Amino acid sequence: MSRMIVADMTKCTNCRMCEMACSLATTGAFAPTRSRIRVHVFAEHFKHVPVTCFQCADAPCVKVCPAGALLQGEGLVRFVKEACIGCRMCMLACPFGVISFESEARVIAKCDTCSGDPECVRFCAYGALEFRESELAAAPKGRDFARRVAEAAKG
Amino acid sequence: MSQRRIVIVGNSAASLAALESIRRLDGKCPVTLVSDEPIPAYSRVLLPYLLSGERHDLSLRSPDYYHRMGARMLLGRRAVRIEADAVVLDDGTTLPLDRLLVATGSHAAIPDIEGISTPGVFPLKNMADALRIRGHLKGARHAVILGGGLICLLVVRAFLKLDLAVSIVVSSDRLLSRMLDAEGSALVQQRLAEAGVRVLTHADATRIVARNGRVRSVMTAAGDELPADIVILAKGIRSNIELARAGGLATGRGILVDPYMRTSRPGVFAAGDCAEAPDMLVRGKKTISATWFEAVAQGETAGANMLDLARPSLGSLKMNVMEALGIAVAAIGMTEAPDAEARVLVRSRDGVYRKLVISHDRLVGAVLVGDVSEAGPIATLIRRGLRLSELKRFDPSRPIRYAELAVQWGSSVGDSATALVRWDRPRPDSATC
Repeated sequence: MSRMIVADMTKCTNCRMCEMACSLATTGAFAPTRSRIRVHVFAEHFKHVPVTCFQCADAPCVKVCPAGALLQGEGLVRFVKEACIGCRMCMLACPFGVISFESEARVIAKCDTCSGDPECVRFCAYGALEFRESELAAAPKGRDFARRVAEAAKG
Repeated sequence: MSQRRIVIVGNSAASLAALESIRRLDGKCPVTLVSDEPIPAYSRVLLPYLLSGERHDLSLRSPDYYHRMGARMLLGRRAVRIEADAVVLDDGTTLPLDRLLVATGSHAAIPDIEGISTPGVFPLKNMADALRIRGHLKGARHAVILGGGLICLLVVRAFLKLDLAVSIVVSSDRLLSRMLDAEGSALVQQRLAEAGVRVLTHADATRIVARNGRVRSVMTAAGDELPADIVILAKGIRSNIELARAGGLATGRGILVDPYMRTSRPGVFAAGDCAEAPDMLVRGKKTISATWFEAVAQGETAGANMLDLARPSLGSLKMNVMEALGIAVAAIGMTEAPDAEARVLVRSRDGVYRKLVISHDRLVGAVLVGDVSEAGPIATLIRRGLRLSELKRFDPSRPIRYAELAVQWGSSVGDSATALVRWDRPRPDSATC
């Protein structure tokens, strides 16, 4: 079993500290738009949903990458920056829209869990983000995510 | 049931996806891959990067891949005949089988132009083509590309890196005419003009002029003479269907398949550029997608169904994405309103263009230029075919994000939401073989 970043949308306050922490760690600047975790807001429900790469076990992005830049690892979808040609096929393949593009480097960017010690989790003051063992790490991510979002929206 | 013997003819996107799909479900059944090329699987998408010298190793998988996958690999052999329960290779070998996947791909369309066989005129479809082009590039200054599709734009990028002066001859009214609408295409064309590329639309090459046995220029119907040390043929593809035809499979322009990727002959499947498969959005229509995406999706579907898992595809969804000289471009599904009922939403500002096509309360198409960050969620929404009026406060003028769609799916579709991360191929969690 491997660890994954799990978001609890009932605890998220939309403070966006995760976006700050991620962008600083990965780009060296406070640039939330370049963060690899993004908080989506449902104004009508007063809910906020932090979304980042689910590290799918059977990842659509890995399957389509024509450059060998995305590799299926154990509990992690690995990205090899040097191999990326910036074609964005992964962005079209990912249903969650969690792969972003680095306009300077002309390559994509995605969560790599900060090599197993995610900054976003460290800086979440509300316990809305956890990096923990999960049986879901090897399971299809969409169903669980969809259910939890729906429940949070209801409650 | 005793183990099925599987033979896959082909060694690119569809074949590898099929092999991997098979191995996820059945670790043991004997699989043989046959490829007429003498090298392990490589990425055709990367060929232009070989021309520009940016990439040297185009391998799609690691060297021990076939061994790890438990697949026998026969390289440099051509399948010539399909028989009952066997396929025959050009060296006379007969491979007995229970399931056959024909993934023979496609070849470049060769226009009927005077001088087309002049040295210096090349398609760019496989490694052999790329190596020949590279050998011809030394000292070249002027290039002409016939055709204005995806391959053309990737070649333009490579040639500009090599400081070649590039002209493009397109018979239609615009670049990327099969992928984009007119507005999206105009943004790309403008970018090419800024980069100094000459684009001739509504133009046809009529003659390739040679000097000393090498190409020297291209003449157009309008009388233009374009200097050319090298000419690239990028006027689309044709499915490789000779093997299928000889085997008595039903063919149109491609090998006709059903949603399970089954051909007209029991036990024989087809996937990728050679297959003509049901379209997702137009009922009753069959289409040759010829995209990397669809090849992977079809290969995966074929693999599962070769093991009798009965996993139909929802149909081919035409979609593609690319970077045209720094401009991201994506097109998904229908790029124009299919009828008078359909609604089209357009936003265009500062070089960013977004168009959504909505028909009968469903999203059926999108064009994105300059920013393709919504592409994945949009493709997912089109594939799922959700009724937009049932999505709570869905506002198509705002960026489409998965989390918002999930609110709806999570409460209404229950278990089938699993399919969201599995392309469009619903699959029971318990599926094993």
